[in-house]
Amino acid sequence: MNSTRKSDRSRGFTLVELLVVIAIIGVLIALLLPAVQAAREAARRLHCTNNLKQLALGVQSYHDGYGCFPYGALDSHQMSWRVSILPYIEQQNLHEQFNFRLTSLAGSTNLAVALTPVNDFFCPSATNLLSIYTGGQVNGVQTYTAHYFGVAGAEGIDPAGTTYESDPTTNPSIYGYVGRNGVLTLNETITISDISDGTAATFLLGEIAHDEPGIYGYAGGTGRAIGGGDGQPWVSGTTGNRPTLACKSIEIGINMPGVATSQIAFASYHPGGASFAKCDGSVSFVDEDVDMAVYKATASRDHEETDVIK
Amino acid sequence: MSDARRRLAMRTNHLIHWKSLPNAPIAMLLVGGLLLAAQGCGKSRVERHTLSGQVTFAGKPVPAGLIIFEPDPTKGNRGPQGYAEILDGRYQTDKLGKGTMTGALIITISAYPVDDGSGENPSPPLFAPFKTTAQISEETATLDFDVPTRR
Repeated sequence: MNSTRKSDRSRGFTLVELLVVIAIIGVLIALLLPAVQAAREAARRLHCTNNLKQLALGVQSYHDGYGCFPYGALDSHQMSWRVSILPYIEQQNLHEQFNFRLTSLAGSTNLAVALTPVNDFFCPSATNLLSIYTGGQVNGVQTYTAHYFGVAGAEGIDPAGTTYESDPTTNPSIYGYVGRNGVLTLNETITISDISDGTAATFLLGEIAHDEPGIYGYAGGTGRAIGGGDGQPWVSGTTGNRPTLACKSIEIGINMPGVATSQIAFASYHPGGASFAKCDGSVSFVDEDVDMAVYKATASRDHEETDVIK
Repeated sequence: MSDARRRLAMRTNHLIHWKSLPNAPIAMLLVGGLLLAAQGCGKSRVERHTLSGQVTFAGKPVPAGLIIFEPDPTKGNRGPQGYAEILDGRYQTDKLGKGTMTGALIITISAYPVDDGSGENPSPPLFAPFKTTAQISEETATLDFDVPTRR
């Protein structure tokens, strides 16, 4: 009787066995967790790709309707290309709120349109959804920003030695240069026939959503950058001193700190690169270690560079 | 067998059990996991070169700024840009930056005063972005720049 009870007890789990099981489960979870996180990030990247695709299709539909791509940014209304394509991304009501008779965003009419967030303008991996400037407030309420920007072209020299065309802003050392060889640029409309490199070899849109890129001399005496893209309200295209806020020229590599407003680097929270939509509506993820010459060649619509991002 | 001896046998039994069986797979899993993790992180396909040095403007150290090294495509040098943030006149591509390519480079230097960040507008730069060129090799470890006042 006594011995039977003892053998019963010995068939249960000892503390050591229990600890071993817990340790094994712990290791398995530790192995699985990074995979789960990576899968979640991959899903967010896919969502971001989808947003870019929707916006690129919206820009294409605009071209179908008007025979040209929208202005990347328009000084006469201070607005961005995002306002122009609203009817093509199922946001007709917001487009009707925008008063095209007004020449300025200031006041509570046109800037107030950006009090409504448009989900297609946000990268799901990015954290900052609000404009970061006091100038982006309507009656003390912050408007929403956007993480997708037009590509205004390249800055610098192409492999053949020709300089990429650009115009200076009123103060080029702060606001930089406006690219003239891209598809969405300042005060100018481009048509598909202007894209001599081919629509599959030319960027249309890209994402800027990161803490790093921005303007020096800004934050807290450290000289470090601002956060969340360029942090402007999504309706904003220009300000009085003519930098482009809604489309950027490519002078600086992906995920690098930016210097001038018009040349803030394309950047993302996705590890290792950023997504871009091309003029044919395709979206590709571009590695941050991409050859600069190839990256710039894809940003320009002409120059007949042979080496572009496929 | 006495009670005490049986208990001792049980204990040693468990000791052997604990030592031999589950330890090996756990160790293998751990090592394997670490290897996988290490492999997943370090996938860089371009060889980057570490460069550091000093940046002065008319002889005085640049308080804050950015230095960008771009391979010169017109001289057949291709690859990504390297960069470094300049703080107190010093830059180091492996700190607050990314290594450069070797060969012919186009270098762009921007410099800013360090402000308290309270203003809406960026503080004006010390000078318009300064462009220069340099040829660097595997042996080049430091490269200093002095931006002249008149250009």
